[in-house]
Amino acid sequence: MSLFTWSNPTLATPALSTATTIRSKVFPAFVASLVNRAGPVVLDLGPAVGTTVEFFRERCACKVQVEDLFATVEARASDPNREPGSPLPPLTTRQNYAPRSVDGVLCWDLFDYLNPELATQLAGSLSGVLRAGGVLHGRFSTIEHAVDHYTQFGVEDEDLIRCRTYPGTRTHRSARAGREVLKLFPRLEVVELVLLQSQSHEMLLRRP
Amino acid sequence: MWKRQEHGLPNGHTGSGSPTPRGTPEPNDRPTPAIHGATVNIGQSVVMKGELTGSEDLVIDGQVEGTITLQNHLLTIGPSAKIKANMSAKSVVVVGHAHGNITATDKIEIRENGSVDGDISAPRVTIAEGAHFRGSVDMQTPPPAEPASQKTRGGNPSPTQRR
Repeated sequence: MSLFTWSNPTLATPALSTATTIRSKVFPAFVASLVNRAGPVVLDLGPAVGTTVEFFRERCACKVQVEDLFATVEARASDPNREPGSPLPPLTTRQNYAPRSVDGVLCWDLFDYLNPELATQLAGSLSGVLRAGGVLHGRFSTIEHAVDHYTQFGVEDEDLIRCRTYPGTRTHRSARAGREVLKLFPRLEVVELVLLQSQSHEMLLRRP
Repeated sequence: MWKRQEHGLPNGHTGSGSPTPRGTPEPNDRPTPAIHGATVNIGQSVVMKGELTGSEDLVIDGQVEGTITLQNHLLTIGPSAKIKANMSAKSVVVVGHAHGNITATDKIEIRENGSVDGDISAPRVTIAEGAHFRGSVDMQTPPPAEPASQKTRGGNPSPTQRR
């Protein structure tokens, strides 16, 4: 007998790869934009990572909201009942965020896994919840390819990001040039954009 | 069904990073006025629905729906547990699945394979590699009225974190 119907189908623990650490030139600016804000709220769209939570608590006294939308993406990708090409409902967060209630958003590389329609919907929602001066950090691939893994990003320090991959359903990964990212976020302005050797670019956007 | 154990946690709950046995308190542990060395175990076959309160350490491996309140004690959500409840305790260790908000006056620890879908609030929070968590993390200092909240633990949060 079971009391519950579990709404989250992706509770299986992912098998994480060996970690690699990368140095970010953009992330320090993200952190700097939070440190002087009162009671900042950071929305992390990636899987929960203990070091990230600890970092933001200690460095910025942030309240961290973890949404792990990658789990939702993977649940949809692995859904055996979904017909290929069928429209997907917008990604929804666990909590409803009031407009202008968030100071920072960590997208990581989530947008690479979203089709243009979902990406536009999510970008609009994220732009709306950012406070004036709030910032959004993301990595965007510049080449299209298929992948069978996701990457878990963990903040080690102000400019150190630890990356570990974990397996997922093989899926298409979108490519977006810098100008296409700007089209996704028309209400935001670019603070920093750095091209990476990993054929992606790391961007920091700010709501004016 | 209800099994009382002496001196620490049952088998399977004493691995690396397990809750500190009563005999070797953590540096910041304060003595608690209730029973020492006693742990109640709710076994895998137990299904409960309602309000669960207690004044001793509790390990849950069954299914519980409702609310769980342990004043000044340790709550362990075992690997087989499926919890759908708001939980409040001194410390909470999650090894199984928990759906609901968790408040602790000392520490919340989500172990590898542990899963929490809900908001967590405690002065100290640990999320292990491989743990699943979806919700907000509020690492505020305990309210001053609580006896166990006299010390600030795990660093000095800025005044903006205080409520």
